[in-house]
Amino acid sequence: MKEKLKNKFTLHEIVLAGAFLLIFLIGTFSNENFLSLRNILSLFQQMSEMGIMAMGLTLVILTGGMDLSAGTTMGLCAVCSGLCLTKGMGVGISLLVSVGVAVLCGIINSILVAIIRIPPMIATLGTQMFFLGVALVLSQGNSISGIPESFYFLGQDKVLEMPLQMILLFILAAFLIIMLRRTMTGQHIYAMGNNMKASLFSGIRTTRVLFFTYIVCSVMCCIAGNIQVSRVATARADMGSAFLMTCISAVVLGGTSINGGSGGIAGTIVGILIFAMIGNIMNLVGISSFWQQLATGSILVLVVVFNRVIEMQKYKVKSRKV
Amino acid sequence: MMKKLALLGVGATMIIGMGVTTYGAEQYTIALIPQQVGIPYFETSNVWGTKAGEDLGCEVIYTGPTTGDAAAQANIVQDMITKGVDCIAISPLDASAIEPVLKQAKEEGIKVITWDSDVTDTSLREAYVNCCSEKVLGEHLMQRFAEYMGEEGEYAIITSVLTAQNCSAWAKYATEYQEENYPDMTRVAYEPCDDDQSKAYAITQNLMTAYPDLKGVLGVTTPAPPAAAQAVGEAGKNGEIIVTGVVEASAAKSYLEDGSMQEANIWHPGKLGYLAVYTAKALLDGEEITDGMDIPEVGVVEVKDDQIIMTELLDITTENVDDFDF
Repeated sequence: MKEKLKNKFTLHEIVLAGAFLLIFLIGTFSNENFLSLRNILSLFQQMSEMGIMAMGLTLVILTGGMDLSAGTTMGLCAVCSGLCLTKGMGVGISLLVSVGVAVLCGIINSILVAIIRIPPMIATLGTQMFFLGVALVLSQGNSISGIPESFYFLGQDKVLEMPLQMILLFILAAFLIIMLRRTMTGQHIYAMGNNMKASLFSGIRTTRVLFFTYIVCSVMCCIAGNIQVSRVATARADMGSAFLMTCISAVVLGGTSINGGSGGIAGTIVGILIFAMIGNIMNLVGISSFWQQLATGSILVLVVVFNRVIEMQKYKVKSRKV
Repeated sequence: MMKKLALLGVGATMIIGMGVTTYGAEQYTIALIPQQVGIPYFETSNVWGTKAGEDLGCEVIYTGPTTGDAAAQANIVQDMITKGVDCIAISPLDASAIEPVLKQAKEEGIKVITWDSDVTDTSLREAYVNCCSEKVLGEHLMQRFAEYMGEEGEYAIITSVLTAQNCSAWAKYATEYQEENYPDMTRVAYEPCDDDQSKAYAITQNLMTAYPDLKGVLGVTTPAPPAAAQAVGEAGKNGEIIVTGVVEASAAKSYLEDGSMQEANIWHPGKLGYLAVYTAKALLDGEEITDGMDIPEVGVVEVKDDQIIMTELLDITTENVDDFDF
């Protein structure tokens, strides 16, 4: 029990918090607008979509899996609700159709991964193209505009000055954090990431848990997609494609092991926030987007290298003791 | 650990510091936002737009998405609003996806102009800086094409998609000009290539088979002329079948040099960037740009309602292809 408390903050968490604070301070001192309430709210508004998708991905990665189709699932769900909305269906029904499609995407992924047992990388690489294809066929490659204003609430409305999607992000995060820490399923997700075979033999219904994580991930992508459709009042097949790599990077930056078994939602949110802040600060100061890529890349590499160094030192100490 | 952190801090501060020094006082700040950074076409606009900023005494911030992501472009506009720029000059990636944030900009009292391409709801922007008049470009394309054709023979036009408004208009004006002025020429085909270079290539091959007397292919969308030139070159018909059209210098270069393409006709993306900044500055100063005005570095512009249209076009051949870096 004592050891558990000691490990409450791992070294990685401290480093991550340090990097976060540093960037935050740089932002505060480099532009007077950075710390304005308005900018912070718009920062959260911009990062919500990516954050929600990254949280879904975190679950899948924790089980030792991977969902490369996350980006195109988002695009497909966006196109589905876009089509429904422009065909005159109600907001509720359109969202329902979109979520339904997401669940279907999740089921397809989990059948491939959990039942046919194709490596997740390969399975979702296939479905990635497949979902994009479906979205392209449905939308004819065009961007769907003319989204009715009644749908704008999701991405453009504010509750008590706070953007709705930011509130949604926090609610979903809280829900997932509690799920991972307090429920059996949460424990099983970590266990499977640590050792799939041992989990299976110890009686965890791995197939069921895998279905759960992949479906949740797809639904999160769907939520992200609908927020973006509402925010930019347009739906396109390629909407989430640019998100995937950034989201995976944020998950890794946030301390979730790419092999599964350790990490969590809070880290992912900090990871996404770091990326969003870098972009925001550079835009506010007026630095070209090329530098944004460079800065984001260097921070990712630095933190990952740092983690590795710590890990190796730990290992050395242990082996010496032995 | 502290060392690493310190290193990170120093690096980041250096990057930020570079930006801070460019932060001027009491001059207009204009955000010049392209559809995507890192593309030769828009980088040329950047170079000229920045030069316009220096000439006119205002700060130009050139920034845009690094991928073709409409939502990322919207984020950048939002950050520019927070930054409090005086004018946003944008080439929208998606004519409607950008509208909600432009509405925000307008509510904040920031002037918005579009350049290179326009938004659907034109009430959101003060002016549209248009690369060329559809009629001027269409007729110019045909004049140059007909000269190489010797003003006679069968020809085909390859367009992007049949619903593309600008390409269709160019093709229409080109054809009308031919019907009026070159009676010995006949248009035998008008094909859409969906802006797909491999499709344009296949179309040209089919056209050569279907019309053995074909003497020319005019491409009114940028992927078409290189693709047509490739097909003509592979058939060993360099110079027998004329290829010209709208295409960037960088894409045309190798075909111009091997003789499979005769000429590329396009507006100057740099001048377009310059004109965008010039227009923004004029708007902020409350000045008006009038029809027929001769803008420094850009040339004579046409003004139609709230559109400012460039009239100068480039004729790119082997002689001058190396002068252009887009």
